Amino acid sequence: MTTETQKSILMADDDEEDCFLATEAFMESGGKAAFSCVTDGVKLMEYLSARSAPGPNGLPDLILLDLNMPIKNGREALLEIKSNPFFTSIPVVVLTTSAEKKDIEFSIGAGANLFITKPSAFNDWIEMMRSIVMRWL
Amino acid sequence: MDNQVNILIFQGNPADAKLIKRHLAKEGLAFASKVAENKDAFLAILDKFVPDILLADYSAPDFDAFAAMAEIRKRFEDIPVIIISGTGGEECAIECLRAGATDYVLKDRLGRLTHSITRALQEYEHLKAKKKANKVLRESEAKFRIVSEHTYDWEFWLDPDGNYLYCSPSCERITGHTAEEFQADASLRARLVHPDDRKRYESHLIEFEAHQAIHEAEWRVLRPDGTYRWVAHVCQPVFDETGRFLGIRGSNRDITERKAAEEALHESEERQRIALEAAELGTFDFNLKTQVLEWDEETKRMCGIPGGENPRYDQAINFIHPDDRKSLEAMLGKSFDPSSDGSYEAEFRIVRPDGSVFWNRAKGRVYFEGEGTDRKAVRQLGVNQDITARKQSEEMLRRQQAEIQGLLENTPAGLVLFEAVPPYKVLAHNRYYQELFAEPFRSKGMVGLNIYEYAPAVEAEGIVAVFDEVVRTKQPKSFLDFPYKSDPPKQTFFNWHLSPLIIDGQVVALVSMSLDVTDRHLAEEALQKAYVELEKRIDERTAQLNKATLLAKAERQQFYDVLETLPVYVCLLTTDYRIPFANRVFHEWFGYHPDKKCYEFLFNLSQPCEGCETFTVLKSNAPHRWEWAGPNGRDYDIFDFPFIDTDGSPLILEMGIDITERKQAEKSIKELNETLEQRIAQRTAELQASENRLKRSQEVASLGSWELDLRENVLTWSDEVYRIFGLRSREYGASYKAFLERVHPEDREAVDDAYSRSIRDGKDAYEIEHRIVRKDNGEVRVVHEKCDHFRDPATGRIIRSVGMVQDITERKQMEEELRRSRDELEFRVRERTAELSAAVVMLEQMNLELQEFAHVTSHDLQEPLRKIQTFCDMIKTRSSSGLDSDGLRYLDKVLNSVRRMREILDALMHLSRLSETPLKFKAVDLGKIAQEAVDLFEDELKKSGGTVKIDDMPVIDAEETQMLRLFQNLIGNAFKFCGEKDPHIQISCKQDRKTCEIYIKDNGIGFEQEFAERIFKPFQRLHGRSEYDGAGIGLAICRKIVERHVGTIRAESEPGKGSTFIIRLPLKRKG
Repeated sequence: MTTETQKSILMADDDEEDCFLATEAFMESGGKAAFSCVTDGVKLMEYLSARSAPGPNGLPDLILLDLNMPIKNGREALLEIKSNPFFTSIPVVVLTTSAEKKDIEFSIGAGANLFITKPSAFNDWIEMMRSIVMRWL
Repeated sequence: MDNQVNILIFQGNPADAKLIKRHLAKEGLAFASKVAENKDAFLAILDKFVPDILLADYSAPDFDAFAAMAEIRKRFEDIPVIIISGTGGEECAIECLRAGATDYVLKDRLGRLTHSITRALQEYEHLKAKKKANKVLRESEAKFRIVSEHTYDWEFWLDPDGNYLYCSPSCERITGHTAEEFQADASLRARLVHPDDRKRYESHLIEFEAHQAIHEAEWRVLRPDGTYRWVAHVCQPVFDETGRFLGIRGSNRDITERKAAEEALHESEERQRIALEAAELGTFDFNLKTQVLEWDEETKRMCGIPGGENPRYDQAINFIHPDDRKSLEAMLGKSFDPSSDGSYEAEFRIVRPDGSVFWNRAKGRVYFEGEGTDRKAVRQLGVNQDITARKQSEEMLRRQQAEIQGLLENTPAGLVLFEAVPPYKVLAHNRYYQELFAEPFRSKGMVGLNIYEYAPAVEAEGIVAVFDEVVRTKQPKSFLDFPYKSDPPKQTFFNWHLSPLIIDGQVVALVSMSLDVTDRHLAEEALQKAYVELEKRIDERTAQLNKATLLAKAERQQFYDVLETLPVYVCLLTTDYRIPFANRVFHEWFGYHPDKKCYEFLFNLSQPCEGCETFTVLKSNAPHRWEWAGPNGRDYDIFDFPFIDTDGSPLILEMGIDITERKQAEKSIKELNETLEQRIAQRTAELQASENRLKRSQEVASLGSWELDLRENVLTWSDEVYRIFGLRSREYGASYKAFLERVHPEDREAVDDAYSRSIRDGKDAYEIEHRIVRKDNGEVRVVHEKCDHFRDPATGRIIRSVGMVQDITERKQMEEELRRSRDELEFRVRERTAELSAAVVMLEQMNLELQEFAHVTSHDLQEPLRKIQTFCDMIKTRSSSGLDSDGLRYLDKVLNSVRRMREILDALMHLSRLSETPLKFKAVDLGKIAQEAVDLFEDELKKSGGTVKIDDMPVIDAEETQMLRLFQNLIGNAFKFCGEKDPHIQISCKQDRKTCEIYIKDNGIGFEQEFAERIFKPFQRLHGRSEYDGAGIGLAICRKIVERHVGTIRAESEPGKGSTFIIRLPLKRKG
């Protein structure tokens, strides 16, 4: 529908290649949302704080969060998002290179909606994006 | 009637009118009169004048008497009219009376007129009164009817015969019968009376009849539907003004509701009375005017004066417990205040005359009279209740509640009460539970929230599933070591119990108890780790000590070697007559049989030798010296020293010196002496003494002797004494002073003291060990001195002291040496242990760093590798059109290499992680695990047509996942290296008390035994990658797992004949 407001996805990852891959895979998956990237936890929190309501130029409809980032890592950012009443309802997908149990337990425990280990094959990236779009957008 | 009669006279002839007036006046009638002569005058007068009577002229020309009568009666009904006529005749009179005239008087008989007027007026008055009465009755009846028609009550009026004159329609509402029915049947009303009330009804009728006055009664009337209604009946006789009985007026009011209310009230009063009794309530009533206090029996009974007199008010106060008196009086004082409402309620103690106490609850009220300043208390009423039991139970309940509350609040466990329906809202929880959570729950609590609202979403799902189950099954559920992250990111573990609260078979709530066992959980893990470390260290330490023991043995051997070289025999004897050690000299002299007893191989005896003194040292625990004739016919000077072996068992060190030659010399000297004795008779005694001396002094090579003749005060030393002291023989005369000079300065006093004390105390002998300084070379030696006193048999006085001096320096040194070597040994063992411990710590540190390095490296290398793979992938899927066939092939090779490298890194990471994670031991059924591992290879098994046979396997303490991995790797290997044949794998086990040995045997390609160790090292491959895929780390992982379980793994194989992997594991975890 044309009246539907534009959805937006925010990716927080210091790895430019992964941001690029995510964006490419998102386009390939047929996703229609605006896709933006920030490169560390501080920038992520600034991005969120500058917006107060969902919608265009507002809060993102989904956050893709890497755990290992400089300055403020994804763990701290996740805790901050989930303890802030304005941001807590934004779905957060932890997208990281780790597959370790302690990272999974931490993320889900801290309120992440999904934990995905970054795939290798590009096709897997596309599949992953497709499921994410279907689930949250 | 007025005194004056107003008369209107209608007379055409004025003279006649005057005549009539004169006549009437003459008769003495008081009257006022108006005279009308014609019709107009007549009508005019009627407008202004109210006549009492009309006297009309019969024969007036234009307006006759009849017309006048009709005209006046239009205005004044029934007014008497007397017609006066001049003409007589009976016909005329009848005509007048018929027309309505009151009387007819002839003109010529006017004398009758006054009488006629008086009578007419009397009749008129009477008629007027009657008419008026009738009118009033009519009006009254109408009014009654109007009122009755609209009244709610049932009204009726009976005529004097008892028939209904009137019955109001309300009867239908009350009785269900219409007014018409009542009017048609005069007895209906009586028939409707309730049988039980009939008596009352009849007595009412009799009463009413007798008094003929207003009377009331109540009874029930039957309705057609069978129900009854209560009516309040009032009836009264009705009389007219003249006292005539006109009938009975009755009224019935429906009072059913009032009756019901009354009954209810009555019932309630009854109930209250019963309740009062049941509640054991006593009452009191204090009349302030009379100052009389009344207690009911219950109050008296309560206060311990059953059946007693009412106390005075001031006496009553004395029943109140002194502690409560003040507060109660204050309260009563307030209730007596006229501005208050007078009510009060108090709980206080009452002391009975027998001294017992009970708690009373008094509720009372003070009543006042008067207004304003005159208002004052007149009465105090109230109830007493013994609430001792309630007080006690209240107190107990309060305490129990406080205890329970305190218990719950302070229980170091989270307690929560949940609703029993989704979404399981929290009804209540204790403070502890609240503190498990982060803000804002920590400060606000969670009451009213459901679990989704305050627990992490993922865990909430699981928890709610548990709730559902508990509600469904009505069974409690417990989880031990339940992981939970209530306060992220802190990982906590709980023992969680969820129980349904069941009332009347329904789950009404859920009770959750969470016990924080994180510390225990972590402690267990830490303990586990510590156990493994400890095991390892103990093993290492044991190995080190073994090594040290070997060293000690070697040193002991050196000591033995020294002994070997001595020109005397030295041997060790055990208590059971065996000789665990003998030196070479012993071997040469006597031969050596360590497994035989000494008497068996030396003398071929079956019993210990008679006269053997060796073993006496075990009893005396002192060195012993004796002479022994050896089996080789030679004599030996024997020294036996008892000592304790390093293991604590008693041993005897025996040293034997061949003294055969000396003995023979002795013998020859003795023979010579005998000759001398014969030849020099006078010196026999002296020679004898000398011989004795010599004999003693020469008993041992290093044994000197001395003799002090106290009678002669002569001291004699043997040659050995001189040698021992380093004096040239006979250089000095023997003297006690010279002896003391040789004694080491530090020991001198003790030596002197020992000798003089033995004499002073009357001892027969003494011994002392001390140092001496040799005169010739200044050497310090240790000597052992023994002295015997000989007494005069007659006097008992000491006449002679004979002493031995033995140089025991070597023996001392030997002992010292032995002790030192043992000390040294111990010290070195300790030192070595410490060194090794330090080495272990360092090695651990290095291992940790290495693990960390391996982990980080493998993890960090994964990253760029993953991206190489992804981008190659993208090239392949998106940009492959720009590549030729070579390019595509190369790309595939890149991808292939990347894949392999990732496998290697994965395996490496896995290997490094194995060491990091602490083991969680539990009882693991290896049979089950083996089967589980085999099941993972179902496809391979089906494809290949192979078999796997699993024998009986034990249950051991191990980490389950690692055991599975171990079997999986080994079985996987067996499948992988099966060659062209169908794989047949056999898993079997042997076990003893402490360990088990597991065999995994295949029929695969096998390998050279020389590689059996190499294959357990990481990245060691015996085959090209093209032949057999894999990272080459599977067996390394196996070894690591086994070693972490304090076991061993090895392989036996031969090319082409299959391999067997043998794993040895302890059944139980140590410690």
